[in-house]
Amino acid sequence: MNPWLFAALALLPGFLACGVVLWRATLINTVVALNLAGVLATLEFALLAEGFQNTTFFELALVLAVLTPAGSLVFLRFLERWV
Amino acid sequence: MSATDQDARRQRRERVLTSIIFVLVWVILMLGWWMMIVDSPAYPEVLAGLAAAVIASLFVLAVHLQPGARFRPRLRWLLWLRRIPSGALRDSALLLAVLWRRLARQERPQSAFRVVRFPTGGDDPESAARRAFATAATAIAPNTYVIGFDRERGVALVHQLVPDPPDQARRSVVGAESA
Amino acid sequence: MTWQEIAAIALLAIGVVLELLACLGVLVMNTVYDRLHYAGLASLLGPIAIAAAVLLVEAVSMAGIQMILLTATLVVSGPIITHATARTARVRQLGRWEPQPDEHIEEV
Repeated sequence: MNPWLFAALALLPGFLACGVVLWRATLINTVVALNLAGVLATLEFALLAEGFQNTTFFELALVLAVLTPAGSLVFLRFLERWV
Repeated sequence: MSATDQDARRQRRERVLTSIIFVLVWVILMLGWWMMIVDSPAYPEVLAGLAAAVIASLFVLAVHLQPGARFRPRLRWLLWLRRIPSGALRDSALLLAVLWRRLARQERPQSAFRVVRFPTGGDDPESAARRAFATAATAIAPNTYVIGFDRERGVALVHQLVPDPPDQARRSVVGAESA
Repeated sequence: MTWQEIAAIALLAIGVVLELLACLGVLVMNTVYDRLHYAGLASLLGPIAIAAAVLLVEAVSMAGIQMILLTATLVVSGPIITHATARTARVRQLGRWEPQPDEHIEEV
């Protein structure tokens, strides 16, 4: 166990907060929680990359950082026009 | 061939040349990004990156050719970013204070929409770039974000978690004070 | 333990705490507009602090460069998503995002 893995563990309760909002709040609020969960997942991958000294996880984190907002924009497009 | 036909042909050639240069620049940038991510000079990686870069660049060109999707930012706008680091720290402290009051005293934030005078401009690429730049840069300091620009009234609609005094609210919207 | 490692641990702790506080803010706020401020906070100081911690340990290596790119992506995309979400919320709520006369929004 090193500080990076400990930080990755400490960040996990953030997903719980996102989960509660996803479960209880209205549709538009769930997009906020979904995007926040994506940011947390990106940081988790970065912390795991450093904790396990495996740079492959940094590439995963970078791809997630780019795709999370793209996915959110798709949801928002639908919510604005069709749902 | 008439002078008008010759002009039209010359303009078409210029447009094709501009598009080719545009795609080449984007291919180089994206291939560079790819090589930075994969960190391997292996031949299959370079080929895969080149293929992905070409496809992506063609999509960028398709968007660029749409009317209203052109931007012409100005380098001097970067000067507007000088207040952002201090603004970001200040706003983060404000948000944490609001969170504390919410948790400790059940106080709801006095958040509000504000309408801020802004040089919205028209459909030209520079005005479009100014509005996009202001939207992206304003929300870096998290107390304020832009919702949209009303071009008829020349204003920006923003939301603030902690409403600032009018002068500070105008300064919070990047580019508003250049009016 | 070197001073870099101590500073990296401190920055890591700050980053994680800020992220958790931003998540708490999203949880306890009542409206989407208020929640968006905390979602924006999560894309800013937390990633920057964690990136600084990584750079202290890794310096300008491939890992450090990738961390810089990752952080820059989060910092730039956060405001864009905030803007798009707020606009969509107003359109869903009011039919259009523009300020309405009966809202009496203060002009500054």
